[in-house]
Amino acid sequence: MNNSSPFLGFGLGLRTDHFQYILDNRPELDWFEILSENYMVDGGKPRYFLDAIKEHYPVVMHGVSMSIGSTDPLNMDYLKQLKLLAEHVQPKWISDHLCWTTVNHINSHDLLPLPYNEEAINHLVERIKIVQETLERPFLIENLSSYLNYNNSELEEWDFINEIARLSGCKILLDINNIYVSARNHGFKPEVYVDAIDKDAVWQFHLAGHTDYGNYVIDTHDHDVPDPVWDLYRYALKRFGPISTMIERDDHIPEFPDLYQELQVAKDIAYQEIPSLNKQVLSC
Amino acid sequence: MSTLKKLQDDFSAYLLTEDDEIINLVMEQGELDKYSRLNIYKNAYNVRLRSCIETDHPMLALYLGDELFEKMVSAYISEYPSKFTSLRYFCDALPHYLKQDEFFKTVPILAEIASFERLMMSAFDAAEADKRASINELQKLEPDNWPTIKLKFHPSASLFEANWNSVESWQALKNEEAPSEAIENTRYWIIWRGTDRLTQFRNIPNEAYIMFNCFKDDYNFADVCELLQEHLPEDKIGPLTVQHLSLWLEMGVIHEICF
Repeated sequence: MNNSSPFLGFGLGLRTDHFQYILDNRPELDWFEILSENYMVDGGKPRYFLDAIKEHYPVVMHGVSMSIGSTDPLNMDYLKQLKLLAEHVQPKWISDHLCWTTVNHINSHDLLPLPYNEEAINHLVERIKIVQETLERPFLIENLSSYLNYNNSELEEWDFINEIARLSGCKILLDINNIYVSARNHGFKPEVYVDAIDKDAVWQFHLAGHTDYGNYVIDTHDHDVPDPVWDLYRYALKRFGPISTMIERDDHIPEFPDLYQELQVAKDIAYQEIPSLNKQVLSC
Repeated sequence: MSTLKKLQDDFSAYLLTEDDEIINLVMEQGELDKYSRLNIYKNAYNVRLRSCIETDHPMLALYLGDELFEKMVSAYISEYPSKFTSLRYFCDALPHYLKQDEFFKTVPILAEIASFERLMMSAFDAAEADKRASINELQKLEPDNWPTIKLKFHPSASLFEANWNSVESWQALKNEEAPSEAIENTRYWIIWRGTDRLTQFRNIPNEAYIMFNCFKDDYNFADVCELLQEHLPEDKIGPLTVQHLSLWLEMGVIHEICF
């Protein structure tokens, strides 16, 4: 319960379908997370609504295109655009995934897994330091949902992510659903992952749904948060205390009030697990 | 070459081709075999890019029908792997692909529909301008100032020259109607984002197309009128140019009237 991360409260991913509803109704919500790439355009509807909504809510920026683990050179044009957007949005922090998406300048547009070994750690730490120096804002890395591991992995994923956070100084966006999905796909207990992650490094939780195919699970973000993910969230709260939490929904997006209700479930669970939370003043 | 680089090259080769050297690096785990694990990524790669093409080019997809759309998607993904940070630009080369592909170039309206859809996208997320000029500004102009006026258009405004009935076909499909047979028919269109942030398009006559291009190239009003003498009777030039300017101002296409 002594995590020193700034606690924003409970948020949602800002989605196009909800722009007008949010402006018209100003729902009581602590913060929004935006997908950075959706707003890295010159103008138009997304930028208009972002500007209007950020006047009323704190925002964090979440990206999918940094390709921090790629062996291609860091895309400095992308980083400069990201920094420009950040200067405009003034997010509480910026996050991206612990993965690679591009090699030889060809973009898979997917979050591809890295081997958990020393070579990858050194590569990532060096690049994350450059990112942090460039962005000049807190930077968080998110754990992936993955479907395979490599023969040349030398560490468990949780040790890999801890080591990168420790050596680079970045923070962790812990995706509770991704832990569950990867646990099912690789056959480990998700609680082991939660127990192993450095308490002080975690600044944000993601919650989401997935598609269960029986002998494997795909991270689809197109369903409600299922019970096993709620259970793991409850477990994580016990370990980490109050962490800024949001629900990610990217497909089959429900009406805003339905998503808002789902966030109330996250809030209720947090209040049950951390009774002092009701009285706590948000830190940002 | 580093081990990490080799792993990423091999993984990428599996996504893009039939090369399966990466299989040697994939760990055997549980019930799901190594190829099934890799194919989750390979399927996701193809599904994501296919979905991007369908989302960005919905009327082209309808015009083609399922079978030809899948043929185009498969070839485009293979020939034009994404080199973009954002999927927003993945289909930028689709009109070019449709123009030069041996099969699809026999139906030139396809490349035109694709070009039109891309221009609509560009208008959707073009930069905003701090203002749009109004008809009042035109009305307040001193007669002596008219010859030297220049126009700055809203960043979303662009022209489209269609040599086939591509826009009409696009409109028919959008209205859930069957498009007419493809016919050669040159028409000019202006595309822009309105003050309500909705993307719009409108058919314009040849002289308006020439006017727009000249103003965009920084010609002043007198230069434009002189150039129009090649296309219009002299007594029509004044009334028609004022009519087009007034309409553009009403549409919100002009950012600024300057000198």
